Amino acid sequence: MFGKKRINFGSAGWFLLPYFLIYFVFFFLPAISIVPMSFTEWSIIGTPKFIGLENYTSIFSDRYFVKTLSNTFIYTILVTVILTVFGLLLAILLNQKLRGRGIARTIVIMPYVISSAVAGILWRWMFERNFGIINTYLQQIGLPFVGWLSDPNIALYSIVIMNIWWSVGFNTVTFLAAIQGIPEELYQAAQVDGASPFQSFLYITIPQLKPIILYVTILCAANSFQMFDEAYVMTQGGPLGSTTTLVYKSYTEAFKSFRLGYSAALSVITCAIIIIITLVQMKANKRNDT
Amino acid sequence: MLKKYRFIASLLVLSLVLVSCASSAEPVESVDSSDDSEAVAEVPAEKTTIVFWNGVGAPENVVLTELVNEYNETNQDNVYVEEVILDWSTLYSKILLDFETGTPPDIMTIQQSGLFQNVDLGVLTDITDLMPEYGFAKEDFIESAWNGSFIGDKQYAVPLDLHPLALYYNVGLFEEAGLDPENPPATMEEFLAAAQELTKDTNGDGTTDQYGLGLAYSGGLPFRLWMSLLWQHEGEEILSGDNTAAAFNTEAGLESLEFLRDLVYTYKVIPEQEQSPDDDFMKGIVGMVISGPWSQFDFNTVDGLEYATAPLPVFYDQEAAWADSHMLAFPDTKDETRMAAAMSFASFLSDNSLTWTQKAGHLPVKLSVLESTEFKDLEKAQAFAVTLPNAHYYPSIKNESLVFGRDSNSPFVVLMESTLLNAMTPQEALNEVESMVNELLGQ
Repeated sequence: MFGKKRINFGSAGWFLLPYFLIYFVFFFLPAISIVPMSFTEWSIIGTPKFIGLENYTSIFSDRYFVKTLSNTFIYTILVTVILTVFGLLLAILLNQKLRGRGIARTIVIMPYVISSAVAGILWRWMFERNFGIINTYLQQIGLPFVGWLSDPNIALYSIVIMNIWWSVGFNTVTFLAAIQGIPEELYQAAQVDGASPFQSFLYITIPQLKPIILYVTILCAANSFQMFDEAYVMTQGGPLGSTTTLVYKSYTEAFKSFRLGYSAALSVITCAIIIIITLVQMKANKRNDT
Repeated sequence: MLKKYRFIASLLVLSLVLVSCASSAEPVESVDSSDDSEAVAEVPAEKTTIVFWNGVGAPENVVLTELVNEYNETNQDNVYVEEVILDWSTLYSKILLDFETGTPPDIMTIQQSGLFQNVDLGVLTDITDLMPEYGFAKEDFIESAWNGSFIGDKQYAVPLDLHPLALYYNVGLFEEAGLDPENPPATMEEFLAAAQELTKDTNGDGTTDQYGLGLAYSGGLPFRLWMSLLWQHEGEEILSGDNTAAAFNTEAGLESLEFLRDLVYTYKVIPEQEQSPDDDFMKGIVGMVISGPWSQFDFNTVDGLEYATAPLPVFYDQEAAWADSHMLAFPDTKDETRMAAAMSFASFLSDNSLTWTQKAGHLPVKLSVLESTEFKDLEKAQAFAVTLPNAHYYPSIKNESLVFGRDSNSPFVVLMESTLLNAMTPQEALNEVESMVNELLGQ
């Protein structure tokens, strides 16, 4: 990539160096250190005690681990699929020459500007079961109350809804930029050949967007697999552990229960799963290419 | 061109390195050489500066801040207190990190329930011998609060307050419902009757929109109330005598849990799946709420909310209510001068606990303050004061944060959520949580 322009790489390297220094010291080193930490028993105070694989065995025998894992997977799959599809559809819509397009684009990206914690608090109030605005409207049209955040069978999906509202704008903008990068001639040629708009979409837009779709799905999957803020702000992992994700559990184990080794082991497992998901996605993409 | 880039880039790197060095080169006791020029002006060189962690959380923490400022302006001890404001959960994790890296604060707030764990981890200084030097004596304090500051025969904290549960009720709604606000419910029958009177459909649309009692399905309060009900049965305890096993899976435990579930599903006097009872109380949606004295701070900010307090009704054999206590503890800094300064500051806070009570609501633990006319003038505090002799702490155990945690997977949160969301029968929930607690106690 940089081979042809060696000279530029030199100066780029210098500019990148500060970032990599910080990345190395404050991210990479601590991240790597969780691997040895995961084989120890440690409560922050004192010296970590080596206990081999005990943390891992106790994670797998933890009564809530399977539930936590399935929560995380359900959340990741839903968020990734919906965000990708919905983001793409919105991008196509906003790419049409419609009136008020500029305003619509602004509105779509707007929620993403606020932090997820603020978005979470906002939605916590709207989702309030007895007196929240959503249920108030539902009641007015004769529907029963929904325990958006208090019903263990629903809470996780409510967080999915909130997350889609909050972050679909980011995907939309990414797709929009990519769509606008597709050469107009391709569509003109297709039109000459008599392709319908849907065929153009299927055979031009989608293939042209493939690298971006891969990028978006990998990013979505990795991000949503690490969901924490939303659960922390909206449900504290409840009710009945129905919104406890792997990262949320790592957090409570480390900073509420002070079981650093156990928490590190959970993080290692989380990391391994994310790596596997990403590899599978990349592989699937490659196979489609050939 | 390239040279110029390289020059700019290396300047950037250099400045970054310098900045990070500058901040890391600051001495550990940075508080003494604070670069805040204002603070420096206020602190002559010979003053001892100590760091105080205020972890009581919003909104009451502002009252402690006022007291810190007052102390800084008036004290004759030549001490300057630098305050760091945290919330409880940050405080409890940060203290371990800062202790381990050798930079703990000199004095911090702690809850009685968090004391054993921190003593067990070796964070706190034993102050048994220092207490008399600074004028602290057992006979000046409420016995339960004083005893609560001991782990074994050593004292580790200065008790600052006690905050037991009591009943809050909305005077206006009581009157509307034909109840006598001068005679708040004191027994199970009276309580149920009042709750049922208060529960009604005020706008005639066929659904209840005002409830008797507010009770969240999650968090710490529901299980503290359940424990209070358990303790109201004679001879009942949460853990067995030596705190090594669960003792709550009994007739009394079941009866108390069933009662709370019935309030939601049989009597329907509590909104189902309620999230924020204090907010609902402030909005007049629930007529009563059971909480600690800390709720007054928020309630007092609502215009037109006329409320009163009463001791927790006696639902079973005897008076009893859960309580915790704010205390001041001293992380082991191994610095005698600063320890002395911290003790002087603690003694100021203890002497001025009336301000803490007047503004933050928490009950004083010093008998002189409790008996003062200023305290007796605080009408709403009296209901809590009545409860003091029958206040119960959590059993003192070293892994308190696991057993009595307030997270989604903490045992007693599971107990209350399972029951109040009707996911398990009370008996199933008790069995489940009994095994969870025994597992944790065995660790």
